Amino acid sequence: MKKIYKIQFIALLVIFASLSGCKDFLDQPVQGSQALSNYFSNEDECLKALTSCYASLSPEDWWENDFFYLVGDICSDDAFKGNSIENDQRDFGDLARFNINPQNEWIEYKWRYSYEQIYRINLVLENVPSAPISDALKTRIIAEAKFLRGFAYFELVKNFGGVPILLEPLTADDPPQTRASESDVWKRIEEDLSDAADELPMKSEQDAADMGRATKGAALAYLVKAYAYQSKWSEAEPLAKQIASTGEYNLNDPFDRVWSVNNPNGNGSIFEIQNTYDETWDAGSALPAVTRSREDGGWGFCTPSSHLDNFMTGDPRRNSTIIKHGEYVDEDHPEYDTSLSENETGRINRKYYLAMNDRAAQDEHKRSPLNHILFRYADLLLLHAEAAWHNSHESEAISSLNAVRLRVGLGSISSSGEQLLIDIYNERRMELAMEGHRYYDLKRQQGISQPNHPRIKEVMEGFVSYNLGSNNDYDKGNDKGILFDIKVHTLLPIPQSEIDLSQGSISQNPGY
Amino acid sequence: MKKTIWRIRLTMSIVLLFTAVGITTMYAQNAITVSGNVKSDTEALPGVSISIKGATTGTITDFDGNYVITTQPNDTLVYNFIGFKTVMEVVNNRSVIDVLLEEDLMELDEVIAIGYGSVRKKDLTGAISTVKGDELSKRNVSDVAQALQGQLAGVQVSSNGGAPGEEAGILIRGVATINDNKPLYVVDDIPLDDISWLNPKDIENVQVLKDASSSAIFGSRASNGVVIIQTKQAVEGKTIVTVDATFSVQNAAKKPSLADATEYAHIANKAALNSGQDQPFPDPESLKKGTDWWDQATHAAPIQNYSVTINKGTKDLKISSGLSYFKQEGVAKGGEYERLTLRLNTEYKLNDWITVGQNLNVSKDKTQNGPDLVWDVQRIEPTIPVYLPEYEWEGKNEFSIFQRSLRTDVGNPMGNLARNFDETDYLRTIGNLFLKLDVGYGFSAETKFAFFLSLWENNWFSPDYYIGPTDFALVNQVSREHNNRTNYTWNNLIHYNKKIANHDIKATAGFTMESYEHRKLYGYGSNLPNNNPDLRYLDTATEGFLPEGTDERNTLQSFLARVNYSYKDKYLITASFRADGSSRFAEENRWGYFPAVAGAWNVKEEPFMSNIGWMSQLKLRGGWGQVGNQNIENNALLTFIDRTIYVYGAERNVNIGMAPSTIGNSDLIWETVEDFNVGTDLGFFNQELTLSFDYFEKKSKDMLMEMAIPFYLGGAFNRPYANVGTLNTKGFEIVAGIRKNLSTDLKLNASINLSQARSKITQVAAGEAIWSGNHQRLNDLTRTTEGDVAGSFYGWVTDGIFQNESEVINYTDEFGNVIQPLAQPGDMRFKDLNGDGTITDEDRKVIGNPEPDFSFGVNINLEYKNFDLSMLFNGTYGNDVLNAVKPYTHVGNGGTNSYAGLLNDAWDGEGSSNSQPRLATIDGNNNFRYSDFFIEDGSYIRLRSAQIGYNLPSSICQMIHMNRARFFVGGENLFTVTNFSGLDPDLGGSALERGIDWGQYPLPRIFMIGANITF
Repeated sequence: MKKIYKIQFIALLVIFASLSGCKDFLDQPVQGSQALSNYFSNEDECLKALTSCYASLSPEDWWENDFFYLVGDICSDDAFKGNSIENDQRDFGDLARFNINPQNEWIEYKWRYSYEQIYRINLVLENVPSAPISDALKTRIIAEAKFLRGFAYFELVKNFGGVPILLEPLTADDPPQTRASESDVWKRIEEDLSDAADELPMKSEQDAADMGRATKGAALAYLVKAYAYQSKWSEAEPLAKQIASTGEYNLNDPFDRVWSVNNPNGNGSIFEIQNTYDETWDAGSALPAVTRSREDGGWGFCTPSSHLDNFMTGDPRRNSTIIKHGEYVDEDHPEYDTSLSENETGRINRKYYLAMNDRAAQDEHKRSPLNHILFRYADLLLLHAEAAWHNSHESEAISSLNAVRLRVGLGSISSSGEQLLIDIYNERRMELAMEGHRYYDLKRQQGISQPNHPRIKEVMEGFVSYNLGSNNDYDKGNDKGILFDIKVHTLLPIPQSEIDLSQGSISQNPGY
Repeated sequence: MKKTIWRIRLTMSIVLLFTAVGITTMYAQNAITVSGNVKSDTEALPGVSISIKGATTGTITDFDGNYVITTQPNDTLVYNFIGFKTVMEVVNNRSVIDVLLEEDLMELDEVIAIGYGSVRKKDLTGAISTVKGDELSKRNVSDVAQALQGQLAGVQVSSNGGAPGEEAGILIRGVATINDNKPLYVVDDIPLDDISWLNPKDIENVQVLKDASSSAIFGSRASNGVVIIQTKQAVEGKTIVTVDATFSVQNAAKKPSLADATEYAHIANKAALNSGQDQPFPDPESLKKGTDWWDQATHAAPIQNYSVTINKGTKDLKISSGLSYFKQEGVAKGGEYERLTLRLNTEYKLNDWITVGQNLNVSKDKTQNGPDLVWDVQRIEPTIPVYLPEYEWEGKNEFSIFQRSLRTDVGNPMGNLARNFDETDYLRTIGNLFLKLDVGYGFSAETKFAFFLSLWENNWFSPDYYIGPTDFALVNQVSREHNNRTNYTWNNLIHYNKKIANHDIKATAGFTMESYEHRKLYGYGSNLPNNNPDLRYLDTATEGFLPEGTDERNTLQSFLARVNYSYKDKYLITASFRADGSSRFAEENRWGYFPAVAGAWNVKEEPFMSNIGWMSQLKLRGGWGQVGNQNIENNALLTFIDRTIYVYGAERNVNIGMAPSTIGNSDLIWETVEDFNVGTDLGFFNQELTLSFDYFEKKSKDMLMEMAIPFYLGGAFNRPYANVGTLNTKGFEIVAGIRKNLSTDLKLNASINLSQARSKITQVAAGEAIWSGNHQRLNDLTRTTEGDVAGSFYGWVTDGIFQNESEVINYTDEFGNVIQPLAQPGDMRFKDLNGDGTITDEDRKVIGNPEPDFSFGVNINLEYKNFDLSMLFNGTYGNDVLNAVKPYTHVGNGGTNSYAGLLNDAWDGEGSSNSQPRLATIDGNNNFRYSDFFIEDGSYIRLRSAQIGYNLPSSICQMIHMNRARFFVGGENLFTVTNFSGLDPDLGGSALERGIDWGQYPLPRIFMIGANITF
């Protein structure tokens, strides 16, 4: 008996011991996901990685990046927050009022998604050179990635000033980064855009299937804009002229077809975010849904001011820019209802307006098919005019200015001196109204009556005095802009959480 | 391996043979017959088991307590009956032996499951609370967690509202981590994270291992405590059939007091007037009461709860089987939960040293996931009707005939209800097979293989409809999702129990393997031909197809050991150790080691205490241990990539891109919670009075959390897991009980428990503040930062209301700057905490603490003759609650609806109010920014459950051939005393978002009637 028990016992021990030998029991690789470490192993993978860099221009949901493009309008005299429901996107309203603090969620999103794009780009730039793909494809991918990196840093510098420059993917184990100077960021942008321009094809050389990808023209045009932001007029002017002389772009599209679902990447298009309606993927824009009237199924944000409307009185572009309450828009909207009780200005942006048939059948706030034009030829011509004026080439300036006017049937301008500059500025306001440029233009331009300050100071002062004074329109009495402080508001604050997370290595902009 | 099995077979056969020989020899002696009667001090006891010590034979008493047994003249008879002290009688050639059994009030010999083994209650060294199944089955709730509410010290259960099928949240000794704080459940020795399939009436008892010295045997998943559940088993010598039936009706325990149409219109008019706008309602009185949305959305709803249990136990075979059915409709329309459970537990003794058995539980449930009506009905304006006038119905489908909200962005709640098609089906099979070997010499071994198979299916459909420009869907959509979970557990244990003179040793060593697999398949499509119920399938969708599917797997391999040693029952020591290997960690960090040690001193057993008769127990306990947490995603180690979308080309084609969607960290190690506990158990007057006290401190280190990293690294919202934070939790628990026969007819059994658990963050990643909680109108509801309680409410501080213009002007900083220049009389005054002359984000501070000073439960049971009364109270004291409905009901801007009475309460001229600001549509002062205005005292005491029962006298029972019949009426949530203005202060939530009333599901008040019959 004794012996038998012992045998049993030993047998059991043997079972135990043999079980513990199952060593690979604990090796359970993750299913259904590709690891980054094995990626970039063929052409397809490299191209997909590049696609994600483009995707960052307009990530899938409305709030991730699209909404912030409206800041260029709401932080100017062209538009208000729009939706008058106080608690609906309060932080957005705070931006419009210049009641800006570093916790503002929209500022944080812009920062986050810009750096996400840079991270994706840096992954491409780090891995593609050693990937087993053809040299031609490598060159093309690298050039497109560099264009996008230039673009991403451009978006950052125009909002935040100097920012950390990351040229390779880093991890939390790397030492904390600091902000580079604004001029160093510009230098980096110029370098990336020049590198890209050297290798990219012209728009006309692009395959139809590649339409929407970066082109040489786009890289050079952004380079012009970078020069303009730095007042490097002597570099900006010839380069702008050089692009114009390629004949790649023209103003042949009528103005009311510039922003149209039926004219993506039109004649004047230099660079735009590609959007489409897809039943499955969120491949569209948010802007039509977030800006349309609440009565018309939209959300009612970023509504044009009566100041802008008055400014454009009689201008042929006005009706393609603004819809005012009660106006005829189309058959479905013979008297447009802007939802007055919820709309600060009784107007909406016509450029992002889509007729019923063009609207996304579902999830309009992330699936609207309208391309978002970031850079178009008229913008380049007006930059050229500005640069030429600064270089005292008035006739060159007038020629570009009048080209823009001619398209919409306006007569030629023949002013000179300061008046010519004012005319260029005014043309720019009207041509590009509600396209997200105004705030940034006003920041880089010098004041006319207050030449020691950026022009935004005198403009916002005039705007406030109009609204609190003679304005008798829907937006009368709105004191937006009263909090504007030229010492503070030419830059947005660095997100507070970034400052906290970097343990102080990232410093705040003055005044915040 | 084959050889081993063969060996076992051989030895088994041999041992069987020997046993048979042994039995035969026994029967060779001269047997005599003994008869007698067994009773308690009041009545004859049927069903008492009588066995012969050292033999395998036995019998039980009949209805009158009589028995007959054949035995040897010198044998010892053992009389055993649950709830009574065991009596042994040496036969000594007597032929009649009558026995009086004494009720066992001590309960100290009760056996407590401690995980991979059990000990007598008096030998416990750690902090373990127990509750019997009988207590739980008095509650008329679907899940076990809810039944535990108020029962145990240190176990805080939050109902999470009363939606059918909603699981309650359990927090053992406060938060131990800012991650998931869900405890580990161990049902019949099998670790599980889902016990919603379990019928509370099938439970024999529940043990909660609260301190690490007890729970460390469960190692890496025990950091939030362990809840050990044992399901009912048959008892030897008895056949019991129990039938339970309860029928209940529920109503919302509290109805929110909302403004009617007339008051709403007055408020809207006044708000407009105060802001210089036109008044929207020309004649508020004509609107009368308008629509009572609450009444529309809620109804009286039944609960049905039936179960049958059949238990049969013989010396060799124990069978426990049961069938139960539970169905609850929601108090808010649209929700429903239904469950059918089938159970079979068997245990079969093959011979005197081999026992085999199995537990099997099959459960099928179905949940109709109702829409979130409660939140909407409190906000939508009462001035509109539910439906459009009938003449406008033409050309509209049945989902579009609802009136749109004209003054809010709230969708018509009844419209939501009409198009809510969201059903979840579960089929769970949980079972195990075990083999126990009594090897001899104190050794025994067991092996148990268990599985948990769960099939989950969700069907969802959303019709196309058009109610208004902000409330529509142009295409209909359908989806189906399957989730298939397969968990296997294999436990292998060796026990050694030996008592040598004064030394008592119990040792256990074991090896376990666990594997978890989760398979998912999801399909979505849109644009179905129509909304016809017969066509709501993926097959009819015409566009928008989106499939998803993947597998998740993880495994765990463990070695464990424990020794319990006691000397003279006086000095007790327990030491345990567990090593866990988890597939979630990299190979070099895979293993975690979790030691624990505890000791206890039964002072009462000392000779010097023997004279102190009034004290029946005095025990001191202390323990230390480490437990772990591996609660991270399976994919935490590596950086993985996922799809992105962009469009190129003249054809506008969608292109798939790939980009990182996670940030891996291959250096992750186990989170460790180190914990020490001291306690004492006191008993007086033969345990009529008992008192326990425990004090504990827990330190969580290397807390696994998703670490925020600088955004410039490009992670956007992706965060790597990291071992970063530390958290301390301290607290105490007191349990006092009385159990006394006040007279022969009146028996009292009552207990009160009181506990406190206070958390404090001692370190978070990079000194960061973790913000949590977002709301349409208030952001960053809680802040978790070093030195604070996890999930502290953080906002501005109000200081009354500006009563007149001069108060606004005179509210200045030291330099005379007006602090709130935009304020008007009637607006809120906020404290300028940093004194910079303006109200900014810097003027926020901690404005509320979601942790109670203490939570408590009171359990009272009275028996008078055939009647019994039981009551359970529970509550919390000193915790703050964020009323996140108030940003709608208290703002009075004429948009969302208000609480009834706001019109009178709001500031309206000097001295009219110092707390509720003026009514206004334009609020330049931002009166309703996130401030202490929204924080309320969440203390409450609630009569959670009450029941009056009547037992049929045993004489009648016998006449109708029943063993026992009890009829009862009762109620749940009968009353609540609280200052909280919302519907229910009993709020759960994650560690970072506790105590927030998001407009939670209304607590049901339940009235029930039922019967419990035993044959």
